[in-house]
Amino acid sequence: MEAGRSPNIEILANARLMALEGEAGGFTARVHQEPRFIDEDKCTACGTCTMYCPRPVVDLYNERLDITRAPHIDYPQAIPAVYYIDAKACLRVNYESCNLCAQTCTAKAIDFSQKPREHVLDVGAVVLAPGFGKIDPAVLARFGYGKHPDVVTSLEFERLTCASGPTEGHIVRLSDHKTPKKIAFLQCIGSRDETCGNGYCSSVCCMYAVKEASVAKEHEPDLDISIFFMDVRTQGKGFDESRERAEKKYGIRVIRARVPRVEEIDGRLALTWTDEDGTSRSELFDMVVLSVGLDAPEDARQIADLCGVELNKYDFCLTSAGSPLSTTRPGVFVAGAFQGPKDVPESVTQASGVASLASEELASARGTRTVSVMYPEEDLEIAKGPPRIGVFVCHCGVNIAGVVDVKAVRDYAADLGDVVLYEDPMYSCSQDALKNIARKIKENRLNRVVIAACSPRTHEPLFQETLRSVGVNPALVEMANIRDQCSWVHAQEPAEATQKAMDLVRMAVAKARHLEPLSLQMVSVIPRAVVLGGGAAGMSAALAIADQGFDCILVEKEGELGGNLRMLKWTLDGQDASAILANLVTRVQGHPRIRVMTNAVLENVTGFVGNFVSTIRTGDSNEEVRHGVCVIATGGMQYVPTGDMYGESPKVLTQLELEGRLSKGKGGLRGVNSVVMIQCVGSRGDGMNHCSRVCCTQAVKNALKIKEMKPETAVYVLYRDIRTFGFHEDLYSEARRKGVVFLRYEPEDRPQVLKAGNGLKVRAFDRLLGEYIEIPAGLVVLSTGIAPGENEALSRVVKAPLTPEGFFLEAHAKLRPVEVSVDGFYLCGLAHGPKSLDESIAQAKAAAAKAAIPLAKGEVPVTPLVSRVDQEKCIGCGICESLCPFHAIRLVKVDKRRKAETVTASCKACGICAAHCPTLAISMGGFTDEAIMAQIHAFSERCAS
Amino acid sequence: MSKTQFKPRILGFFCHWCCYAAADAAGVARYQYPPNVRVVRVLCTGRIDVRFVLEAFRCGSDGVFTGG
Amino acid sequence: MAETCRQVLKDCGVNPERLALEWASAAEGPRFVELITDYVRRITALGPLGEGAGEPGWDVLATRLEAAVKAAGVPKVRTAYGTFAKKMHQEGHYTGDAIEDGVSSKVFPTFRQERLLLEVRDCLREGPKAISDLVVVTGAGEEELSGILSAFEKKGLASDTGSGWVLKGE
Repeated sequence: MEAGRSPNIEILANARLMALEGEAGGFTARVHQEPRFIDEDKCTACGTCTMYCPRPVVDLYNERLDITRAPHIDYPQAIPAVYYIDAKACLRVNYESCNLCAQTCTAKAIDFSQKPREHVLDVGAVVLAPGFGKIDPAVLARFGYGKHPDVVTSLEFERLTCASGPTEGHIVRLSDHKTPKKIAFLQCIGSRDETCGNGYCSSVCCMYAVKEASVAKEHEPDLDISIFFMDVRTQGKGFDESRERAEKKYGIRVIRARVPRVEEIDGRLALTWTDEDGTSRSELFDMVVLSVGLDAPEDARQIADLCGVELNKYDFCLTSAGSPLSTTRPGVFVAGAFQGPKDVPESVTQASGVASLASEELASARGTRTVSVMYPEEDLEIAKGPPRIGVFVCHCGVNIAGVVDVKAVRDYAADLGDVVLYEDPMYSCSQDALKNIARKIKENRLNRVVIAACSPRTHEPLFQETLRSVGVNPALVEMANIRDQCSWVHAQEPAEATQKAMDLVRMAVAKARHLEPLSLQMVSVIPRAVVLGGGAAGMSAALAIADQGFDCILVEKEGELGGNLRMLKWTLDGQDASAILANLVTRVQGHPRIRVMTNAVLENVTGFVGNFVSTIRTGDSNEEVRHGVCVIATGGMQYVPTGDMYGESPKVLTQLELEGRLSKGKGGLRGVNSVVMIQCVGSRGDGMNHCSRVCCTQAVKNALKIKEMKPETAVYVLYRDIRTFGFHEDLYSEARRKGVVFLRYEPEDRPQVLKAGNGLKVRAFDRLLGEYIEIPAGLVVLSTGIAPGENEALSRVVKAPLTPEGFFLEAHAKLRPVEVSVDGFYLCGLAHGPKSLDESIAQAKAAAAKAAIPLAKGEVPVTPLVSRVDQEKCIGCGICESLCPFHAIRLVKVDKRRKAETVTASCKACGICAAHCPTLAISMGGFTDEAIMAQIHAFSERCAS
Repeated sequence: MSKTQFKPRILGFFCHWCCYAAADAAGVARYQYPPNVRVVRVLCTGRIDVRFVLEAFRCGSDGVFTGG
Repeated sequence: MAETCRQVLKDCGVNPERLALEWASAAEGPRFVELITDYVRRITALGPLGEGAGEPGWDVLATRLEAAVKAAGVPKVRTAYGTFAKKMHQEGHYTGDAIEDGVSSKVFPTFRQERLLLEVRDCLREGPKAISDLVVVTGAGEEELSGILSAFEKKGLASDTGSGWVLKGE
């Protein structure tokens, strides 16, 4: 949506790259674009062409579960928000007949004269983001897919659970269209399977299976759902917690087994598997969902050849831990699943990261080819007249209309005073609907607009911009949240939800009558960043900001740079970590735009995005620095074990301590014949609640190191789930091949470290033998988790929230993964949550890209919602000044009397001043007393006035 | 009106940054809760004037939920 | 804010538990759901406003609350409220007891005084009232009301006609 609206993003849909010549900073790309046979500028996405077309085609967007027609749009929010004609199916294109769509299109948008176009583009950098490919159908066929209609892929199941999907969210068996009673999810289909060439783990399937199962249970509470896992790999931030909640709330059964095949018995599906204790079991199910993995894109090799980049052995793009977003060709970057299987937050993060890399490449040419949006001059008169309110009640497809009677709400709005226009758009945020709203504002001279749709937190800016586009002050729109806080949360009570929606609309209309135009102010940005933390993430972020051409102050609390990276010897992919560290430190220290402050901490911050003043303490002295943005990269800490004889016996080490020993060569293992590693020490409920994400791979990496240095050493890994996600799975397979023994334990039956003479032994339950065993241990290695750093103090200083685990909370997990809810603050590295070095570096690049936006623009808008003091009414009591948490009110002398005054740029519009003013002299932009009182009055019919 | 049929009408004052966001998050996750609350969004609970709360009761609200 | 509201509500006869002040951060969707669900359950148990245990009827509440809203806008009351908030902020110890004590000694008396003044005036405006009538409506004691009425009388605002008190000059 945002991409579609940006004037500096040109979208060439239906296009593919034909050649890429030149080098970084000066590429020439040849792009071939197929005609869509519909004029993008004329199409209003009304859908008439689809309705009249006689030619059915399989709906690929709905995973072939539905049919559509030759002219169609994949889904209503698609960008560009215009239809296209499937040239292969169209009668006109192939046989010069029909032409019905062209005759029925009132917008005259159908254009069969369109020809393929060749574009030659001069570009400085290239980003590869082709996504992932599908698992080979031959692999699926092994599980009965294609033979039994009730074996479906997880992608198909996702469409079945989707309220706007082919069954409107009803979960049905494709054989008889009846609701199944018992469903099984089979994990690792096309993943962790060397027999099909995909030895890697697809990383996302465990979590999405839990999500799909939960959604299904919400639609059909009586479903009986089992998920067959090999390991439960929900290592993302907050994922374990969600999964455990889902398992408990929905009663999802977890079975640890790999099911080899699916057989049909009397219309039902039989699964046979072997339990962990070796018993064979079988059960019948009504439906089987194959949790398909993420394959490399089908055209990966073609892309690689055209772009001159190398692939890894699985045909994903080849990158390294130190430069996770760079391909082997300079100036060509990669983001998303093509770099390796990953979920949405990580893909979005990488996308921001490559934006930074591209900006670094293009820094010298910044602003030379950009265009900016011009808004028409504001019509100052229109707001002065009596309220003329337009109400738009959004269907949001079935998101709202599936529960709330949207037409009834629309008609209800019609009867409210001052409402002169009322409509019910299908998707009010779609481009055509926005165009329509703009047109209706103009035609009807609306001076207040009420949008009853989703949350103003996400969509208000969009509608404000729509008002601006027709010269109406953006403050004159009010939203009623009838989706996030109504239809979605009262899905079982349509009548109540409809009543609530009507009430919310009435309240919004009441408030709208009191809305006043507010002027948008811009303040200039100090072109300097502060990066807190001099570890891998902080240094990477500082370099990325500096390479984009901005000054940067890097604040490190210790005496030297490096953070946790100093303790790491090898990266997860086996590279020398110290070389990466040395390279970062050298580049940071030699960079003319970076100033490093060591032994330094942030004491205090005042100001606002664009104009912060930070107090940085070095030893006993304080220094004030002025800057526009700030990146939080303060890192994390190694969890310090409290049991397992750690600290008591010199033979009990952490993984990092083991790495230190191994780095000294074979001598580190002298006299050691067996090593027992214990996973999840401190993690997943053992002291800390979260999964630390990297410990499994780290353990496997070190186990392999031991086997390489001294192959005769017995190595045991006692684990709960082995979470070697992505390509790290290769290490796990190798470790098993080389004889590393993996034994799973339950958290309530944790392994015990015991003394055995002069040595140690570990007692654990062997599930296959069905009894406890005692393993002699020359070394016990604890895979300790990643604990949050001292985040509370910093959280208070910058007013940025923390997660329950104590890591910084991002503004939005998927949409704004590297931003903090405080404007001007960005987040990366272990301060955000446990992650590996390459993930930290990618995230640092992303934070740098986001931080560079205000720096590059040079100015930021100030919220117009600030407080205003009526100095006639003000008695100068100073209550507001003392209560303001942002020091945004000061007392000034006006005609020898003390009067309060708002420091607009510091004001966060909280309104404490207004709520405590004895003389009601302070009003809040957009949230005046009158407006709020009007909402309260509208709330209740029992109200007298 | 008997107690079993009583459907309270409740006015909520939700902080944009905290409780309002939490309510949105609940929606995104499709959690279900009773449909009795109507929401006035404020930019901070500090904005809530004593008059707002009292006025809500005067207007017959059976309850006022302020969420920060 | 919440404590002041609670004390005023209680004074007006509204069960202060009808007002909730809860915290849920942006990430706490589940907590929010729990809070709201519990709260709706509690209010449902209390019954409609004015019909809860110990609550006077809606008519009485409406008059009292109307006066309370007006009182909350009076500069004298707001100054007491704001000054106390300022003091709390400067001293920085926000314990529940300190707030409760502070509000009941520094804010509430002024608030109640002003609410009664406004309410008595509103009542008399509707016609002559005996002190016993005013006791029922305002919930205040006879002694307190006599004090208010004699103050009105001194200022020449009201007088006792024998068949009840009336406002003068309106």
